[in-house]
Amino acid sequence: MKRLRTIALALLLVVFTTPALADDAEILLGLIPDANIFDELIRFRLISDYVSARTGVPIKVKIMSRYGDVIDRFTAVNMDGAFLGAFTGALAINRLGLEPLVRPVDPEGKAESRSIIFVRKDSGIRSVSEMQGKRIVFVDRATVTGHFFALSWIRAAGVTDVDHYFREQQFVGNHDSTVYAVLDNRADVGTCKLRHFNRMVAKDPMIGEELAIIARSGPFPDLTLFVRQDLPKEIKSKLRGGFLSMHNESEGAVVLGKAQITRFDPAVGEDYRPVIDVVNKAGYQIGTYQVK
Amino acid sequence: MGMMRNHYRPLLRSIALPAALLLFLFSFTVPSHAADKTIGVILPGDLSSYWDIQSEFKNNLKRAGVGGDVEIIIQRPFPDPISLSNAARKLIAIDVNLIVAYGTDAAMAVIKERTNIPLVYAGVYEPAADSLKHRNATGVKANVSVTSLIRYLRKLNSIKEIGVLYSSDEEESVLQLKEVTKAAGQYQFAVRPVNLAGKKKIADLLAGGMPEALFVTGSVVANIKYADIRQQVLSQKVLTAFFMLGRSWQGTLTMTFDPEEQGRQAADLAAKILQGTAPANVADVTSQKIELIFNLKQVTSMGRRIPMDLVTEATSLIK
Repeated sequence: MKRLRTIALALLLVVFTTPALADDAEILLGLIPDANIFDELIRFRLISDYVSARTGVPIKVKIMSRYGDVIDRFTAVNMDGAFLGAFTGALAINRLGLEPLVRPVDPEGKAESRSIIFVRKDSGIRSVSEMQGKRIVFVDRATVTGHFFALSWIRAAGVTDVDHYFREQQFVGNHDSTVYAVLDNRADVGTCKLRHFNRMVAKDPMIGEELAIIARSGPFPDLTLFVRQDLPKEIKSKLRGGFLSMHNESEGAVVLGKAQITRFDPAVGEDYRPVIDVVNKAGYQIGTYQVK
Repeated sequence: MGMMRNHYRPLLRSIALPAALLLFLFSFTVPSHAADKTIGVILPGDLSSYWDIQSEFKNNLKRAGVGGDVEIIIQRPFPDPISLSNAARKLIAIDVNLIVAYGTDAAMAVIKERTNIPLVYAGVYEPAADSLKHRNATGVKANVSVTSLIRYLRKLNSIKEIGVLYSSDEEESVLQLKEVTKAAGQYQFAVRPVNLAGKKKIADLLAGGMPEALFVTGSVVANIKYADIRQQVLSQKVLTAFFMLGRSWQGTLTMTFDPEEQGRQAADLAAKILQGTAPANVADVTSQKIELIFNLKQVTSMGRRIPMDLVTEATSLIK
């Protein structure tokens, strides 16, 4: 009886911990709250539904509540993959050994992201020396375009203790909110992804009239689909193929258009070298950085 | 003798009348006991947002370093130039140690009296604060953005016409009307200015029909008179945006300063002055906290779509 119980327990463990997927098993993909979470979820559900239908691999997309959640979520919720930004991608490679698969290309043909630092034009702030004692707004501690680039830029101007250089540091959770915070005078200096800023200015040119960009970064890899390394090769191959061929299929092109994506390109681990460099310049190491 | 009496009569009259006036004022306003310090406060329109600042100001005086017995004399004039000027004169006549004035116009009324009594202002719209630069004055400003409030208002509906409630007697609200007009050029909507200065009734001014949305400037008069049309505004589902003057729970959207922060900052400035620093050496400050209040309950009852941007950005939601 005891042996039977042991066997049953062992079987249960195998069932719940095996990395392999049954043919009809659902793939769970996480999505970081890059901008407005509701818009983002709609965009990526459109795409994943299409790829599911084409490849026969059922996909479920779930929002991760915070940028830094990626590590915890993967281990806690048995995620199979995630759309990750530059920093969370580098973190996922370093800590979880995740594999970059594909990356969306925007309507301008770019699959890269850049960070900007911005202020209100009427604030008179144009350099780091004028930021002392002011309020700075970041996206999240775990983002290159919404945190680490700005830190590296401020440190390059000779500020070693950023925590005490500013009167207040806010982390607002998404890129759009940093823009609104500075527009509303809830913060004096903001940082976010250039693409989000441009998208907001295109919708509302007054934003461009009111804000001034005072620094820009070089390119970082943009949102990328990562999967766990031990996902069956066949599933990985189906997913990669499904995403990469979308723009060649008439229905797929329509779905991409709705999500404001031109096509998906292949992604590799070496794309993350600039991320590691800027994190180092900000005074941190990917391997030891405490997200929380 | 008779000639002599006639000769002194004009002189006696010129002394007696002001003396009688002063005696009259003193009988109502002089504190019953001698305080170490006396602070005079001008709180126009008895507005709750100014009371919120005042309450925090009073509670923070001791923390800020004002010791001893402090007497606070509060004047609550109607926000027209004559009433504000009278309030300032009364406090000057009492010879308070410091005057605290809420809003640009109350502060300006004190400055115009050319008194040597130091002035601390609060609840002042930053673009209007330039007019308050004076050797005896310092205070707390708020840099609230008219364009931001318009931007959020437009997320609720693509508005074609906004009525702006303002008063030509109140400098801040005139500046804010100009800002709305500037935004109108960019966002392509029409502005209907509604000037509430004097004895004009708000309902009469809007008798021709309600605009799609109302922008209530930081005018004290507008905030008082709005109560007369509140029911009409709600029944006609007019969107309302309240600017600057405190946490209005009646509007669809409110963008304002944090009154508690303003009160604490004003207390800090007052303490420095009462401890002997000249106001000219006490730099004015800009408050750091800006609040965006979104009345979700009102929008839901109007049957309107709820923009998620607003839910995300609001610092307070009324559910």
